[in-house]
Amino acid sequence: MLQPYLYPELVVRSLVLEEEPAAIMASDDNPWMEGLVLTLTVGVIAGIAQTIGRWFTAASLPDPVAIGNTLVAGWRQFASVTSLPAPAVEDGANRIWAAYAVMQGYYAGWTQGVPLLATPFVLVIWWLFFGIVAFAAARAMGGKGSLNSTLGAVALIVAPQVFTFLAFVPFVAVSGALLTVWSALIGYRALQVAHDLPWNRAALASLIPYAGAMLLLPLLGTAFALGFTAGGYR
Amino acid sequence: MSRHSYISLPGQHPREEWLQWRFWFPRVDQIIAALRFQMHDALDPFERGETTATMREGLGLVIVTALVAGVIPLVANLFLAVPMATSVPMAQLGSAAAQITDAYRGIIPIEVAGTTVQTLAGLEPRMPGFLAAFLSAVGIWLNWPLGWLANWIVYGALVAGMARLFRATSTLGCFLAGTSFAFVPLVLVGLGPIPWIGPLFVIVGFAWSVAVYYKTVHYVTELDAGRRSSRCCSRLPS
Repeated sequence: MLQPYLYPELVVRSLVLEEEPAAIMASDDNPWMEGLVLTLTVGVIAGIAQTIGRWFTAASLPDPVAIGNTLVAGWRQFASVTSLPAPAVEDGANRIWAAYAVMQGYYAGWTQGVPLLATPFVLVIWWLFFGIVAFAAARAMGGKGSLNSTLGAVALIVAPQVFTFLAFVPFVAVSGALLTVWSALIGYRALQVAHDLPWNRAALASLIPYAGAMLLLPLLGTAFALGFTAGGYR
Repeated sequence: MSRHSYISLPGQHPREEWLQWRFWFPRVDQIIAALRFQMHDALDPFERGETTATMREGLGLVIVTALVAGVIPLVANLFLAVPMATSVPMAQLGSAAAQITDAYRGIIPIEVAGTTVQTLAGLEPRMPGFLAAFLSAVGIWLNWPLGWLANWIVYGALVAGMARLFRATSTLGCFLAGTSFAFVPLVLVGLGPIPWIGPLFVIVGFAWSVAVYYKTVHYVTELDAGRRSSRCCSRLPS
C-alpha cells in the first residue's frame, strides 16, 4: 500500500545516508510503485518550484526587449569607436540574446513552464535507468535483491532534489554536482541495503549507471544531430 | 531501545526523533572543541572510543553556519540593491561597471562598454524594484548553504573514497559528520564585505577551516603516512 505520509521522513533520513529508509522502500509490498510515486511526487514539487522561480527571476529583471535594444545600441556605439564590423556581429548578438532569453524562460510564455513537465519526466527516466542498470550490476556482483525491491530502494536517489524546492526564490542555484554526487551516495547506500553487498561492490554497482549514462548520452546526442542534419526532424 | 534512553548509538538515532531539532545540530561544546582542534571531545563527547557525531548533526551544522555567514553579505546586498530599486545581480553589474569606467577613464571602448552596462543596470525590473531587490538578495543568501553543502558532500565523498583506498574503515556518514565541523571557521568568510579587514577574516577563516578539516580527517580515519587503519565507527555497517 502506498505510504505518502512517510515520504518526508524517508527523503530526509536518506539524505543523511541512513539505512532504514532504503530498507523500508525495499521491503514495501509494492516497491516499484512506491518508488514511482515518490519520484513523481518529488519531481512535480521540484518542477512547480522551478517554474515559479523562473517566473520570479524573469519578473525581477528588466524587460528582455529593453535589454536587447540597450545591448544593440551599446554595440553600435562600441563598433563606431573600434574597427569591428557592426551589422554582422549585431545580427549574431541579437540571435544569441533571443535564444538565451527563450531558453532561460526570460520571455513570458510557455518556456517558463518547461520544468513543470521536464523535471518529473527526467527524474522518472533516470530512476528507471539507474534502477535497472544498477540491479544488473549488483546481481553480477553477487547481490541478492530483486528488481522490484531495487527499484523501490533506489527511488530515494531523488532525495537531494528537495534542495531544488528552494528554486522558487529567484537566483537560487542548486549545484548539479551536489545533486549528482549526493544522489550517487544514496544510490550506493540503497544498493548496499537492497542487495546486502559489501561497500566496495555496492560502490562499483552504483557507479556503473553513471558510466553507462556518460557513454549513452553522447551517442544519443550524435544520433539526434545526425538525424537532424539529414532533415529527419523537419 | 527505549526512546527515552540517554544512550545514542553511533551514527543513528531512534526513528521517531527525526523531527527533533536537537538531533540535527551538535552541542555548542562540541563545536568549541572542534575549533580548538580537540577532535576527541568534538566527535566523541561521551568517550566511547568511537565517533558519535552524526551526519544529521553535520547537515544541520553546515546549513546553519552557512546561513549565519551569509547574513552580512545579505545586508550588504540589500543596501546596494534597494536604493537602486533593482535586483542584486543588476545592481552589482552596474556598480562594477561604474568602478571599471572610473578606473579606465579616457579609454573610449571601455567607457562605451561601461556606459552600456550601467544603462542595463538602470532599466526597471518588471516587478516592483523593492521586491526585486529583496527576493534576489534572499535568493543569493540561500545559495550560501547550497554552495557549502556542495563542497561538503562532493569534496567529502572524494576524500572519503581516497581514505577507503588507503584502508581506512570509517564510514561515509561518520566521515561527513566529522568534516562538517570544518565549516564553522568559514563563518569568518561572511565578514569579507567589511572594508580593509574583511579580506583578513576571509584568509583566517579558510586557513582555520583547512586545519580543522585535516585534523578531523586524521582523527576519523586515523590515516597518516603509515596508513594505519581505524577502529572509528567500525561497528557500523559500511
